[in-house]
Amino acid sequence: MRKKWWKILCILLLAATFVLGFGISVPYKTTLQETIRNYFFHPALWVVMMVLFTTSFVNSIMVLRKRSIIADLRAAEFGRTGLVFGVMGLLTGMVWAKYTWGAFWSGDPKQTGTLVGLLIYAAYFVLRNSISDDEKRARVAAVYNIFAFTMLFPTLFIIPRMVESLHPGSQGNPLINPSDIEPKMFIVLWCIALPGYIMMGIWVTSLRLRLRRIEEKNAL
Amino acid sequence: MRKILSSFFTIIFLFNTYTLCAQQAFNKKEQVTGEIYVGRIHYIVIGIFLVALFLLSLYLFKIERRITALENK
Repeated sequence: MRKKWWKILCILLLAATFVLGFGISVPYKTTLQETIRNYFFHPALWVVMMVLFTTSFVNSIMVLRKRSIIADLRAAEFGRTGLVFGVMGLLTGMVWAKYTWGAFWSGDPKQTGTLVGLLIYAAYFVLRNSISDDEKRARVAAVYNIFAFTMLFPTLFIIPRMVESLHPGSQGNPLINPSDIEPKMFIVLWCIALPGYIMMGIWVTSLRLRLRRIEEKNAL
Repeated sequence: MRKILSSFFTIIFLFNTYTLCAQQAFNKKEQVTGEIYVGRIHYIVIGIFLVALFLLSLYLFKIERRITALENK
């Protein structure tokens, strides 16, 4: 994890994402217009958030199985970075909504569900900070983290799909309509943007984790 | 962490501004509308984003060096 090459690769991938995201030609859609370029940023942030939250969730299970304090630190830090990416996903979504739906916040089930999911996850950190005993905090936080991760599925994916929503993907419609997107856009998102964002998430988390370990050692 | 967050939020703000400018230019149904020119906005935004990314990476590498130094102590 301390090797430099993958961090330089991360910067290069993100630079390529920005250059291609704003530089390549995109199909003209009446409602989307130039906002279609958000396709290179907004969905990727959600995928990264889910990757980081899943890592946090796995570490919380390890806390309960092995009573590992290191796993607890990992769960907290991956969760924290995941939450930052989630907030960024929500903000980029709001910007997109402003220019396609007419308002930053329209109370759409997808927006509301996302906010609820993120708030449930934010409570994980409030809970962590409220317990001073290390072992007790690790166990209680791990249980809550498993609950918060599980709650993401109904709030983000199930309920918004079952009700009427302006967001693509509701009532059986595809989340991403292949006719709206050109193959080169898929390539930029999945092969360049997504690995870049994931590496950035892991990089920031690893730095925070190392810092936390130093703090823990100093506290002992 | 605060600096990292502010970098991310700056990028979001720039993204919003970019979308507004691009939409205004398209709404006038012309590629060239005096000062706003969509192609030029793209290049300007790419430049700003790359500078922001460069500064963010410099900051992260600096933090990493400091952490390594602390670990080696």
